Amino acid sequence: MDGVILKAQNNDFNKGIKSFLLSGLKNGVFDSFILSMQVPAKDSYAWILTYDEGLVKSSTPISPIMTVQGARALKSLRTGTPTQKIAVVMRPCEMRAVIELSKLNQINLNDLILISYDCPGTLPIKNYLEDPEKGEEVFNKILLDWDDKNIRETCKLCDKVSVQEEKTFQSDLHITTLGIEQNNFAIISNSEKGIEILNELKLEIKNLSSRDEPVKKIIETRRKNRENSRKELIPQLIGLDALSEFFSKCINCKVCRSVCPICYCRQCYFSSEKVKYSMEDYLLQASTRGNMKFLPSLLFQVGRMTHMSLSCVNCGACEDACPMDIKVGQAFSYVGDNVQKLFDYLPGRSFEEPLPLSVYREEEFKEIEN
Amino acid sequence: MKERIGIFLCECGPNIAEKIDLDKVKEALEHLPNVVIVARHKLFCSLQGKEFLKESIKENNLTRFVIAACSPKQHELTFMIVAEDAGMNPHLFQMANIREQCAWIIEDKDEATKKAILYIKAAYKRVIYHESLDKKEIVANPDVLVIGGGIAGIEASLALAGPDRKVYLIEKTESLGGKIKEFDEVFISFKNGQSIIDERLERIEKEDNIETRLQAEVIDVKGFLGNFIVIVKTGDSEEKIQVGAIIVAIGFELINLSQLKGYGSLDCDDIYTGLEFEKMKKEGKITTKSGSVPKSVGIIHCIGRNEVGYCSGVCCLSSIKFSKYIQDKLPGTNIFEFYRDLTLPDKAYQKFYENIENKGVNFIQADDIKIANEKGLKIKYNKNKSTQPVDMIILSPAYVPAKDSNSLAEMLRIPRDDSGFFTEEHPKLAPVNTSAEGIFIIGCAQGPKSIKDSISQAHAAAGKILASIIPGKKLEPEVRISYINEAFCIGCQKCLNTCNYGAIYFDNLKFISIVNEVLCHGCGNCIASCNSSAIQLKHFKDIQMHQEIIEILR
Amino acid sequence: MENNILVIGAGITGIEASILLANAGKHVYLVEKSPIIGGNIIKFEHVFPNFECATCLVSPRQQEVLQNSNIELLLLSEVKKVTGKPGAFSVKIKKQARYVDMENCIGCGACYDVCPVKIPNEYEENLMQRFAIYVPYSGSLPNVPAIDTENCIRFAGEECNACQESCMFEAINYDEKDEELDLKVDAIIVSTGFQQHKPVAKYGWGTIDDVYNAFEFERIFASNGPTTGEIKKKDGSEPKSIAIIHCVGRDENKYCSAVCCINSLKFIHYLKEKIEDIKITNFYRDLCLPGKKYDKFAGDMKSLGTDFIRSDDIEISSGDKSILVNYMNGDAKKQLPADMVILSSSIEPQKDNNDLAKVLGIELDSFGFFQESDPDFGTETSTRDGIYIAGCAQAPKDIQNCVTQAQSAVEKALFQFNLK
Repeated sequence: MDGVILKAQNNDFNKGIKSFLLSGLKNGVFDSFILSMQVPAKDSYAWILTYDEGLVKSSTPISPIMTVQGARALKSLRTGTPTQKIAVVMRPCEMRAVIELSKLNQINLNDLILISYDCPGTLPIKNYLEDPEKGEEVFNKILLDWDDKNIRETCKLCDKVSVQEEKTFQSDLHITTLGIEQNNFAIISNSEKGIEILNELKLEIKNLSSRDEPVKKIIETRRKNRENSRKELIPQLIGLDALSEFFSKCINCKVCRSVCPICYCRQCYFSSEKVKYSMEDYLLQASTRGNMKFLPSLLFQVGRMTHMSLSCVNCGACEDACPMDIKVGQAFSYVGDNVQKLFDYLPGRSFEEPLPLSVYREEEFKEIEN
Repeated sequence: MKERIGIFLCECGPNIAEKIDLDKVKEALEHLPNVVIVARHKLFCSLQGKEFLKESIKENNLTRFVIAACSPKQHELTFMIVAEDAGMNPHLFQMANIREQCAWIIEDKDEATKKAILYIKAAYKRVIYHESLDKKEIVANPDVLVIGGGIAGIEASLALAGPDRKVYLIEKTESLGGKIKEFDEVFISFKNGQSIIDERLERIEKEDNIETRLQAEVIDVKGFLGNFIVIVKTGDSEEKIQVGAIIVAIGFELINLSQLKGYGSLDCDDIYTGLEFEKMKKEGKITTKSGSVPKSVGIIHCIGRNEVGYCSGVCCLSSIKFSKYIQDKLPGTNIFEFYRDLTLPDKAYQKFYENIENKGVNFIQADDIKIANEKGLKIKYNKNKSTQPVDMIILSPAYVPAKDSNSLAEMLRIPRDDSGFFTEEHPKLAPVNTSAEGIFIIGCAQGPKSIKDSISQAHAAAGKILASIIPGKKLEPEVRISYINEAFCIGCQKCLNTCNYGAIYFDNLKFISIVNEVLCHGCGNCIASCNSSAIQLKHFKDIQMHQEIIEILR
Repeated sequence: MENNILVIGAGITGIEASILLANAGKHVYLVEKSPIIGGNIIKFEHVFPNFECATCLVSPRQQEVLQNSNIELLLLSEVKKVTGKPGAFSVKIKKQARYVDMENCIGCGACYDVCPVKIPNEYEENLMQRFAIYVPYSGSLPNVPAIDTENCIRFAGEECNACQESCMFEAINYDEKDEELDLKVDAIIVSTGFQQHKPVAKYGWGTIDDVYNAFEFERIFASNGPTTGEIKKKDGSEPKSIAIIHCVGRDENKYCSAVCCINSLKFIHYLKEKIEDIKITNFYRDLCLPGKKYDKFAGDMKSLGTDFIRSDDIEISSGDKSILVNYMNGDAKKQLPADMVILSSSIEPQKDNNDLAKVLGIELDSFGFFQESDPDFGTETSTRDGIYIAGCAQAPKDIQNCVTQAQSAVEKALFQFNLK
């Protein structure tokens, strides 16, 4: 892979990225930015859209926690005619959700410049909130050593952390630190648009083969993590009884759905009138089954799975948000992987890959048919 | 108004009565809320049965009813008519199939009775949620736009134009007639191509109801069956034409020889395509470039068949026709036909082939053919083992879709096959229809074919139009169709791709999908694609199905 | 003004023409000599190239014919005389008694069980039996039996009223009489279809066991046929090898029937679906696959595994353990053993075309098909004004082209009334 190498003094990648963005502003390749910014109370992060140089300087493009999944933020920019070249800096999983939502016509990608970065994972929000200052410290260390001890469980299992030869996610530019010399970072063009931008900035493009080994190593580690963790997880998911138990803690708050970038419906089926039954129906159920558990959570979970697992990007937002610590993200990621494999589809891999259920292939599911 | 519901149990002679305890069924249903009558009859589909049903509906002032009998495939329509006769909306009843699904398949009478009660209760629950659906009528414009002025387009125009129906015939070149006017003799009547066209041009001229636009093209199409608005550009001027149906007859092209590899040198002198050879024959002198009469001619079939992936179906015949041309004009010339599989699919063709073969044409079966230009043209075959030197080569290249197919397909929103030709609605039963109602494909636009088949298709499309858009008669579209709840639609447009009939379009201002009530066939594909269940199918709404299913799952 | 049109033959072509004419507001008399509608297509389990179930494909059309008030269906009927001219033909129809009332019968089948007569069912290629009161296939439409008076013992003078007694709906009436109907029609469409060629002696058909023609094999494969879809040899064992012979009857008829190659290739799919490791050999002359879809179809079928041998001289004989296919390959005489042989026999003109042509006053061609007025520009017009021809009555063709011709013939009939 080729790219340009830029300076990041004292290994402060955030600062390095910001100076790159600002040079782009000066050269007219970017007009404005969507970035992650620490809130004034210094205990969380929010997405901001800004033209202001000063605000860019005080932003934190690589933030320690994922508060709002970036794709959810971008949904606001759906209608209207774009007049600006807006640079968006987000994690790979957020980029993948952005691509999925743009295929579903929920994000207008025109004139958005998508900039992804090597993501070592993020901290669980709950841990971060206990002591945000310490959280910042821990995360800055992770940015350098990629130690996965303190990151979210779902991040530990994520193998789409960086660009590599085999494409796993789409963005225009990708910021990388893996395998790059100390006090430096690099920018790789990940699309036609990305190539144009680097050319316009007249930066010297170099071969970045030093990245290959470290990237490969991390991906391998993550895959091994996933394999090990699934050994434990799978038996908990097979069969109705197991599933019931797995989700038995659920308090039906549906926050997993609220934070999910892929759950984009205006009116969720599972909150609609259609799943409200009469008292008579409940009494009958109680009499036939012996008892009736109120707010049946399994229907919601399994139903949501059927709706979104083809586009699930394993971002872990649901699990991070679950107040009952159900491993909902890992469960969905396991199901999602399998369903996606059936269709030979990887959500967010490329804009051109059509959504599986919206295209018809003559030879489909022969193995299931027979 | 209080609902008054009737439940009718058909004995179907012994079919149901012997296998199901209908008294027990009656008992189980009588006390359901709002049920005012439960009645049985020996055979509801009989004349007496229908009369009894009609009178019962009227006497009891029923607002809805359930009829437990056979499969709705058999008699739903029968009872819809009875309901209508009784002054009720025909969608306010529901059938419970207690014959095929209970009586005929369950041995045990108690079990069958139990299941029948369950099914009838489910139908009862469902029918409460049924809604009146009213017939709609739309005015249809009888005029027709024909795109392409080849033989197929001309025939269709002549068949359709009349006092009550105008035809607009659009041709992109400067004259009508298409490829056929290049043919000296057409297969198999051996008439002259130009005179065939002239004869028809005369008729077109006399016909006031055909408006021809030459050097014209369609640049935009909006609307649907009965109400299309087409923008046609002729020279620099644009005009708006309103029609009720569109026929696409844009013909074919021959495969570009420069794309072909593996045949050796195709670009030498004295190698002609079929169309080029027709021209030579028409001009009356079949000679080599040097001006001499060819002593031997090689005719090669199936050029480009492997590349396009289909057999064009007519090249064998035209190749044999070329042999006839040469035999007629140059009796002393040796002819070699190199073929793969002789394709002669009609009653008249074999005899013609045999005549030509008997007159001394050499037919050589070979799969691998290469042309070499080494001290004259040579045809090599049998893995280069055999060689036939010739003075002239005629190629029969594959038919490929016309260049405009792609843009036209997008404009008309009609699909194309892997081969690039337009796709018919059904390969057996609807060969000239497309998935878009009111848009037809004929001739080689639909697939490579002979003149006779093109003409049959032209008349077939005309027949479909004459039978469906009748001047003065309104169209009655299907009423059990999809509709989209604007409040729930989030504009993801997944439904657009699932619709086979092009019945869903996207409103960019409101940012929601909208169903065209005329084009929707009520298949339900879009409903499955909608996560937020913003789409519902009338008469098969979620609530209707849920109520039925819940009852059955008790 | 209402026009009446007579359609002769209720196969897929006649059905398509009738529905279209009825939709155009014409009154249609659809005359069919058998007791059911559907013609040859309902014999097929699947149709190429998409393997759709043929009966499922046509049953909505059949229902439409039965339910459309503009179509008057005359079953067990034949056209006996036609006089007059276009716009004013007088037609005499002979309608045989069915002895079963179409209104009252619900098709429950109670009458079959009690019928004492058992004879080979010609609709099932004589591979299974039927009663004297019968429907040709299970699932026939209309689902109302008819009494075959030639075989019914009551009509032979014996005392039997078993079927009448078994009927709960009083639908059976032995006193029904044959009728003669006089119709006034404006135009006539002839869509009487084809019959299958009877293979000549050298193919061993009818003399060697397990040699079947295409329709027989189609019925063997059919789930509503004699073996309910199981492919078995006569001795009950499963065939391990099978030979499919193309072009049977081509030499005798002197034309190519255009559909047999594709239909034969379809059998590869049939066979592999039921017997995965069966060895299939196709003996062909020229693979005739005209049109945009069939090369791909042929490729798909070939990929299922089959051998192809090009030969135009074939003889079938019986060997010790199996059937023998004797063929010429180049100049060499060769032999291939096979457990079963399918003869892909050609499409032939109906044997009674000659009589019908005389009644209608139209000409036949040298093969016995109805003669078109122009081989390129008038394949749906007969040699007489006001009489149109469509489907395999005119020439052998596939279903798509039959339907096209039906629609085209309708246009020409409507054109005649200047109803544009």
